[in-house]
Amino acid sequence: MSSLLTMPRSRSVLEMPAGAVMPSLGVGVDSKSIEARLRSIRQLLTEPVSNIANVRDTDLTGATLPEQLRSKALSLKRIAGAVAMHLTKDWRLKLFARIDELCSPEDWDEPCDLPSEQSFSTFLRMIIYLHPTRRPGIGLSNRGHFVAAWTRGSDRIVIECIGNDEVRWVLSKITDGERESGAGKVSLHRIPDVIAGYEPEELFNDAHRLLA
Amino acid sequence: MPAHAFELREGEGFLSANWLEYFDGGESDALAATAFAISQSRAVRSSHAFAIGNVAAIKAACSEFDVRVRIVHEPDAGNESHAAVRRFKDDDLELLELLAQDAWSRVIEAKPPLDRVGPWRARP
Repeated sequence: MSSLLTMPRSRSVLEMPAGAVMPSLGVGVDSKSIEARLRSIRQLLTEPVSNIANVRDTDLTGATLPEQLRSKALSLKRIAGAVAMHLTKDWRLKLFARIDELCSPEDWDEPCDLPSEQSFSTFLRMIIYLHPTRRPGIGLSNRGHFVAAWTRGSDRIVIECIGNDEVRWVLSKITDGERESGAGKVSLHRIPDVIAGYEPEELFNDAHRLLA
Repeated sequence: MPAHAFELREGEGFLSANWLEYFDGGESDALAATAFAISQSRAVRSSHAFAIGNVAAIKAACSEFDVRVRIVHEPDAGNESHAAVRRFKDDDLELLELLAQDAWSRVIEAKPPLDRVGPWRARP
């Protein structure tokens, strides 16, 4: 061990004594990412981010479709408002505008389920947890689940927020001219682990800021 | 085109599509006619878009996931170009993504075809 500590920097790794303990070159990066992950987990566990995990879908049976959509838009904005301190003002305004678009009675496709508040809470918690700097495209699935998509060229990750912190993801990426893809269903805190092999950093990051 | 666009709705036994070449003329003529045909059963708005897919590529993509689809011309009342993708399964998100990114990936905004066949009638 002591021979390693006194070893000149230029000495080849191959010349090191057998059994010498090598410091990991990635330790700085690893500890930073672990630290960031712990910070994100702590954010999910603290109020008000933890509170929005408990929202329930409102039952609007009996109301007309425009009333239902208006009520859902209000409810979704209220949930986003509860964690507004975590979102930049710019993105919050864009998010609210998108909610209005998605809940527009003029554009509503009737066979689809109404937007789910529980899914939206998972979406917001996912954003706070993943901390992307790139804005996702936001849509709704037929089942009323919020769907976030990050695209760069032909590479893309689409994450459907099922609710109760569960997500369904699919990622496709061109590597050496070949399309690789993967998909799965996980709890949101597992997303970074299951997609790590696809090196998805470029999909999630650019100069934008979503979180305050 | 999002992968989720290929999910079947509750109670839907097949994926509904339209046979673009059923109509004479160029692509824009066929799209306008298709927009009109679809509007007989559901609203088509300028904020919508059409995704154009190739039958052989769709079949090949599906068979990669062991889904042997049959794409059949099945005229509906008022929608003579209607086609059904039968034996389609939407439980594999990777297949839906492959369709969205490759086989069924050409997206055309609905506004230009709609502008050609307007004024648009109210939703039935």
